Amino acid sequence: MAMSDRVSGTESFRVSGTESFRVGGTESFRVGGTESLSTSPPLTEEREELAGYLLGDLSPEQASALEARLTQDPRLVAELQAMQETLELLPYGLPGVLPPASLRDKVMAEVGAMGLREQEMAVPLHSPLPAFGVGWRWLGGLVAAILVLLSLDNWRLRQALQLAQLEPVRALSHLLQQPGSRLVHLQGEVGTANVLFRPGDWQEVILAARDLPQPVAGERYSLWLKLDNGEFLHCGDFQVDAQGSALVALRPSRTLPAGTRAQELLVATGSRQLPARATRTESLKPLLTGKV
Amino acid sequence: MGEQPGTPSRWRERVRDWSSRADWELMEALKAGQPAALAALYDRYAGLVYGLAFKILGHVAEAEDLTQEVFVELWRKVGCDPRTPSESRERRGSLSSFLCILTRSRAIDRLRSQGSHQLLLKRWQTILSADSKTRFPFEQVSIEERRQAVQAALSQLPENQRQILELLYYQGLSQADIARQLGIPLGTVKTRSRQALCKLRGSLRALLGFCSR
Repeated sequence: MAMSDRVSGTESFRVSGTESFRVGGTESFRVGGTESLSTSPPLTEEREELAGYLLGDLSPEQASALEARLTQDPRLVAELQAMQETLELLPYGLPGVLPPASLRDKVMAEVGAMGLREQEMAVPLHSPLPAFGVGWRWLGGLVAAILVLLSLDNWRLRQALQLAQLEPVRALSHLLQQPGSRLVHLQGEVGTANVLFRPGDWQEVILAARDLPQPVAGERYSLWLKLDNGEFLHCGDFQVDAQGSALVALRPSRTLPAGTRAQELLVATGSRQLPARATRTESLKPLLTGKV
Repeated sequence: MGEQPGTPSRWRERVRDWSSRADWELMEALKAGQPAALAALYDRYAGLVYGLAFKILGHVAEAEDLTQEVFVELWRKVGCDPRTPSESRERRGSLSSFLCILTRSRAIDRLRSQGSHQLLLKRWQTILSADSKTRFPFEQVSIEERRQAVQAALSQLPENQRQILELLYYQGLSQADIARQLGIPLGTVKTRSRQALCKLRGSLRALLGFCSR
């Protein structure tokens, strides 16, 4: 009988499958512990019997008899557990095989997408997202990508710091870009954000931010686009949750003036009194910036 | 854009935080839904999981797929069932056991569902021709120590015992299957496999003490 074919009903003693995670940690089976093992080791035949039990080569009668003894003998249980741990160590004997670096990204992306699905079920996105219509749908997958990107910042930073820069974040951003879309990473002293948009088309902008401080009373966060003629285009306002995170779809009320180009994106506070198109930005308090 | 004053130290502190945390701490963070904890656990155990998956499945793509499945499952399980992580201050090593058991179980399931001799042959061909025996620069020292101890213990086993134990563990074959495959009596398979496990248990006593403390 294969090891994985053990009859049910032995799970209390045999650490297998997902059950093992609980059973393995059940301290009630560990009375006596390793101390008693070292002072009173079981007989060789007893160990071989336990090995046979774990390896699935006892007859049903033999297995039942052993299980009955296990309920009475904590030392035997501890020994059985030690044998099980021995089996579980076998993979350490394998030569190292390095998984491809891209696998890490895939794992984290899937986890991030799962988080997004849960978020979508729990909290609907703010309007004006529905107003964008069918043309907006193409961004759905990339919103997930942005969220993933944000969630990855922490672990990505380990590599980034080794390189003394945040290049991995940008590299990932680049990978996530699809034809016709751009993803710009914004950073500052506190917090981080990513903005997704179509170059030349500032009708649709998605912003995902995290770790932003709460704005002072009466102020909101806003996203601004700095143009090459020195003007600032207001893309929209947003608020952050208690954790300083935000995921918003913004729809700038104005498009870029003819002949101008976007240079930089800014997340700032204190924008409410400014016009949608401004040249004076003294009242802006930029927290995050990113080159377009 | 240049780095803002104060930013690097802040981030460095965070990063150091994650990579140096114990398994049980990372599991707690995982329960709290922090993806960075999963990333840290991935860094720690992806080599072990992938190596085991590759050993059993013998296909790079399938091993990658299973590795992804295992870590996503870890994320999902811990998030859904707060009782799941039995990793504790007292019982180090149980997380790696959990990952190995899950990987092995899923890999053997896949193997059985495919269940063809051709696949078996292909798998061994792949393993034998593989040129990917690289080390894990990101794994912790304790993991490397376990590797060395287990490899040393396995090398002390007689070849005929080690072979049977590996067939049992990595291929999920029954002892009867192994007896047929090797052309030896079933009783011999039972004896050798038991002896192998008992001998390993003795050789790895120090390591088991560490794991089950």
